[in-house]
Amino acid sequence: MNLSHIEFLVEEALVNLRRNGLMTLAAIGTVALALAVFGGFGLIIWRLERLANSLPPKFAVDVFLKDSVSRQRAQELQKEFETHPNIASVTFKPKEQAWPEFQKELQQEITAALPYNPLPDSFIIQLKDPSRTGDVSKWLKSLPEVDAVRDAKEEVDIILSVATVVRWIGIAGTILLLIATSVIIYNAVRLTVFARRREIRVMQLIGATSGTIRAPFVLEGVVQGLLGAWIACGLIFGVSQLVSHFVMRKLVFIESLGGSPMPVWVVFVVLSVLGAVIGGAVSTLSVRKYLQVV
Amino acid sequence: MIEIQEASVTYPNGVHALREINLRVEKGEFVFLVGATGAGKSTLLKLITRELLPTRGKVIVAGRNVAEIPPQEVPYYRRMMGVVFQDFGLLPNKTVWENVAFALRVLGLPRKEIRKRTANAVDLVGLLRRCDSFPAQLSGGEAQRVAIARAIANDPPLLLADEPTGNLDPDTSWDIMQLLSHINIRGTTVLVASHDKYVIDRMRKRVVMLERGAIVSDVPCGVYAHEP
Repeated sequence: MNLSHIEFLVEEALVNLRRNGLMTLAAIGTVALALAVFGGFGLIIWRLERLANSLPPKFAVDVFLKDSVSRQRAQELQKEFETHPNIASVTFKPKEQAWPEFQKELQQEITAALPYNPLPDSFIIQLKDPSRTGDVSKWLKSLPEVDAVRDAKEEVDIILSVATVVRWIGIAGTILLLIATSVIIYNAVRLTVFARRREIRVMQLIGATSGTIRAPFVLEGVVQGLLGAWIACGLIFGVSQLVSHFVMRKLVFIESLGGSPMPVWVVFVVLSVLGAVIGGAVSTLSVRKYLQVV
Repeated sequence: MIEIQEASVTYPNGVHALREINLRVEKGEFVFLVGATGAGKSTLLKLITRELLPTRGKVIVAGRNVAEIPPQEVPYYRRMMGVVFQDFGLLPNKTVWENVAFALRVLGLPRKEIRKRTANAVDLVGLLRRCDSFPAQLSGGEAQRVAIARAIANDPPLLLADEPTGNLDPDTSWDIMQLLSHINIRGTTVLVASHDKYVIDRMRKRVVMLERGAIVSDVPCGVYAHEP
């Protein structure tokens, strides 16, 4: 295949796209809508999962030491905790620091009446995997130096199960939508190929190889897929801007809990790749039927 | 050029389209295949273009047994023949010039060569003035001329025409036949399936008559009405 032949195939694809205007528009429109639904759903699922996953780490485990434990022993314990495989970070909070904070939280008049600092030294422990909260708490409680452990096991468990459900719904929904999207695009492209099946026969009788006949169709499919994907990106960002303008502003905490929004380029790249791949693949499939040689 | 030996075609639905056909066409001949609709004319042409394979028997074109051509070589085999259809088979999205050039571009010829041969073919059928028209803007006769120009642009040794005048009025049909005859005189073997009695009788060429899938007569300077 020489350069002028490739040039010919590309030119064919572009001329066909332009002169089959309505069919091209219909296919691009279908791709755009299908990918917009797919991408929009994906974005919502992604945010929900991020939200669910971002919650548990906010629940740290508080470990209160017995009064009899020395500062030196506390430092040793901190080292021991830090090497534990499930513990991400350990912060020591001496009673001198905890007391003023506690006083600030409550009303000073009440606490001021107390003649001594009743609070123990404590650790604030962040876990690597929040689902292991129960195990770690149990282990901490079993230590002789530990007086009490405060965790949010129940809350964490609920949130984690919600996150799991969201993730599975997301995966299943994404797969289903991907299939539906492909089928819809396949139908749109198949129609355009069906309308041009006579052309395919003519090309075959002229002596065009299957590759030469197929290439412009596949290129057209890729271009339609890409254009559709870009329109879909525009739709998704337009809608998400509107949503965040009117809804998110009133629910600021969701924004703060959800972590950073999905970067624009990820959606753009994912949809572009999907559009191009699906467009090219369904074109290949659609043309194949007419290319069979006895 | 073409040798068909004891060829039969039975379609999957049980219809016997051709029954033990024997036909020999020499290089440079002009042959009419005549017969009523369904007699097997188009099936016979499809055997030659290798759109169909014979259920039994052999089809030999230019010394090659068509059935033995592997599928990936079929496009190259077809480049030795031009095909003209009743409905012209022009690509609707291409201009006259592009339609003719297309047949050469798929062969991967250099640009200069494509321009030269396209111009020659379009000139031969007398349509240089209509180069930029689209098929929908042409009359039936003009469209068929474009189809013929496309079929001969590559200068193939064999030209097949399936009812080339089926959609045309008698005068235009006559012009088209004259054009095919002219191409034949330049050395191309021409095979025309037709039931256009008016032109066949005036052309005085070899006439092979098919009836329900069998050849019932084969006359050197025949007329359509010839009785066996």
